[in-house]
Amino acid sequence: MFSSLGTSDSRESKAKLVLNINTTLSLAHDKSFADVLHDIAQEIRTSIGAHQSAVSFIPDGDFQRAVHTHSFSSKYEKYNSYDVMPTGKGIWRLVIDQRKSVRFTEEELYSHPMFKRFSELKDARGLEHPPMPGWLASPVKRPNGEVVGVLQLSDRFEGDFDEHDQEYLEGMAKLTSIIFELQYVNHDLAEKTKQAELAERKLRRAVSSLQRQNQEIEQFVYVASHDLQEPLRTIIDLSEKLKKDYADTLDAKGNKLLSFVSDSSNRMRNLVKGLLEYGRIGKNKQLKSVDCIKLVKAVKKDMKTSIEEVDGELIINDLPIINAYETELRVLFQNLIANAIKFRRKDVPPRVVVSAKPNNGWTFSIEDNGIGIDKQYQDQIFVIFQRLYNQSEYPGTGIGLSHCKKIVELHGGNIWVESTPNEGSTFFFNIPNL
Amino acid sequence: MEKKLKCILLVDDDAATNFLNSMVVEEAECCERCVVAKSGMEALEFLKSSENGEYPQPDLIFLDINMPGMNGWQFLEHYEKLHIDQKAKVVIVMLTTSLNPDDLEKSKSTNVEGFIHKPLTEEILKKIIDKNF
Repeated sequence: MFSSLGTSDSRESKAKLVLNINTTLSLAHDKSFADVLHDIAQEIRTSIGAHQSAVSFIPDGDFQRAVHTHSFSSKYEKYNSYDVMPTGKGIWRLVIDQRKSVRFTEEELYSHPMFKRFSELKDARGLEHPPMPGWLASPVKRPNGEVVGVLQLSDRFEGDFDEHDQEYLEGMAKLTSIIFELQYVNHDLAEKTKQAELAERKLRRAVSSLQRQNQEIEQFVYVASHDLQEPLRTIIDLSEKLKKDYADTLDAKGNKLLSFVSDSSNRMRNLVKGLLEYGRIGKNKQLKSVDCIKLVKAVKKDMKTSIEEVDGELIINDLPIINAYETELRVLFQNLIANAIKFRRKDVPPRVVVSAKPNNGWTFSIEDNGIGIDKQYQDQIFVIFQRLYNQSEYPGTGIGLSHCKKIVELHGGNIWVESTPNEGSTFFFNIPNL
Repeated sequence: MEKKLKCILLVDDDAATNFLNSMVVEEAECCERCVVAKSGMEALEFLKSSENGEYPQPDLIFLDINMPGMNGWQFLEHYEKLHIDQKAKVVIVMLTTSLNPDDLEKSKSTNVEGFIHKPLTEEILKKIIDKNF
């Protein structure tokens, strides 16, 4: 029934091994790992001709995670359901510690000091370990030498296990190690896929929560600024009426107070207007091809009077055609150029130069010869409502540059400033290829 | 008011607030002179200025926090480095909104005497003077 290798030579056992490699690898394709181990157990038992075999996989030497299968001939039929997992104790230890095959006759096995009585190895239903007339065991190693499994045979059909059996089993141990490596790769892959899926789910949750928060903030800004406008309108109208009809009745102090009321409420109107516009950036954005020269020329035309009033000069260098949100980009140039004119030095006519350089998309620059910005304030200026100067020196809302920052970030770019106080500032912003 | 101070310094960027506060100080008739600084920088310049070798050394400073450029806390950092002869006797911080815990923590390392909410009133001014002078 079984062909025994016991009488054949080592050449024959090698040929058999090659055959086994092929069948086992093809089996490994679409079977579960435990089934493949069982096939190996079956294979080594029938090839050598023994009544018992077992294959164990002990990942990282952890017996809790071990996969253990056995194969019995009909002689040991009642043990097919024998269910005791290896613990790595007893005679087992020899194979793991010595890292090489162990071959014993029945007599040698039973008299070995590390051999444990079978009566201690009962399974859950009280079934004792099958008796073992003779033992051949080989370790399965990873490429780094770590022992991660054991192949075992017992009760040879005829005689004791010999060196040819051992040579064959060691060959099979090498083959088994390849299958274990596949298992490691599969396991790593599954683990990585699981982690990637987990990370993706987390990310998706974070994105949607951010989107929701963003919507809430936009809604809040819109409602708040709208509702603020109404009472503000009333204050402005009432103080205008007071100024018009009661200026003569009030004394100088009263008139001064009244003018503070209308100044403050006008300033607040600008703040609310700025806040509304800030909240609206990117609301109806449309990406299109924009000719920046045309765009900046249009801005120049709009600002003609305010530039001429201060004897200013706006020089437009060669600018590219880029994909951008046109309305927002126009506001960006307008704000930066208006700032360059506004923060001019006394007695020095403002000279503003707009340029661009290709750099991960395009980096634009707006250079002026104005008052400049002290190093310590250069980060602060892009924060909403942060202002550096008194209303009486340079009136404003503190929204302009944060508006610019929001527009640049909408395009996925950066904005920054380089400046020397009393010499001028250059604002840079980068618009990547969209 | 019986206790007359020599000088009160108001530090605030907002012209309307300065106008209102100096009106309150004037009407309380509690000091010989009331000086307005429109920024922390201007306030520092005033404190460092000297006449016949004497610094103005105000008795009381009312300090705004939310100012453009150098804010109130930054002003205090510079103020701490002034010579003892240049410092005021009492510094009171004026707040527009409620004090946040971080700011309260920050104030502990300075010689801020207390916080009041805007606007400054005659009543509050009297309390501060009674308590400190």
